[in-house]
Amino acid sequence: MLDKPEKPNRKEINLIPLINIIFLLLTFFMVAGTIDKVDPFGLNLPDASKRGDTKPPRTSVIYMHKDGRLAVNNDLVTKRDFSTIVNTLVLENKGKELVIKADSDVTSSDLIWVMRAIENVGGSDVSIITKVVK
Amino acid sequence: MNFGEKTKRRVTVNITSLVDILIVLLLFFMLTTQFIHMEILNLNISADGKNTENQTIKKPIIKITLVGSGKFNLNGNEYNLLHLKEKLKPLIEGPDEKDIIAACKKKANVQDVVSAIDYIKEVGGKNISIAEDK
Repeated sequence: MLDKPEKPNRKEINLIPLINIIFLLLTFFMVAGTIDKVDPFGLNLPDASKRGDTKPPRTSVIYMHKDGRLAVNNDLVTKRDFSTIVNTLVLENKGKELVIKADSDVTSSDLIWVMRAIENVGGSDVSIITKVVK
Repeated sequence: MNFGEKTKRRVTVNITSLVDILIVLLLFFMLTTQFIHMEILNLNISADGKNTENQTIKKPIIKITLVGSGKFNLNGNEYNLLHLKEKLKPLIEGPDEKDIIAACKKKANVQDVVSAIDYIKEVGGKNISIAEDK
């Protein structure tokens, strides 16, 4: 008698452990991290100890780079246009605070210049974002 | 009629598409989540002589000059910013609330300003404002 041709042995890879690991990683990233807007340029935030102040609010952000570049809500602006843009920003965000996200190497005179520009158009509540060091 | 045994059909769910979606989600969260803990620090700018007429009661002022490179000047003596707390504590203590001005020299950067405010707040200092030291 002729032997029956053997059926090709179909091996299946068990994907369940892979799914378990992916689910775990996904849950970790969703719970432990925070999704934030990408900054217009790389910034090394100044360190500060944990003071229990409020977390950065979802409001207008002024970005300051150490080389003098300025950005308002992810749009690059020149120093000349800055006060005009900040003026509209202060009018739009009446009552809300403005937040400065500055590199730790930005000079204090540049920071004061930005704060004076905000103050000159009527903005009073200004904060700076810091990186918490434990 | 043939009432023979029915062959059992094994239903398998194709989970490859599920794995694909999970990997896409995992990649998205891995690339967008940030693990830097950020907080905000309120900044006040010194009035620079403005509105002083309206102030009926003048509070005593403590002036700290931020020299830069992590150093500050208090009453003519230069110290490291790490010693700010111990030098400032005896000056702040007392029944009267004092205004603290952090005057920044040109060399001082944002990190110096943030560290100074942080240390001042740690020893209980309130009414902190920053100014430019010309």
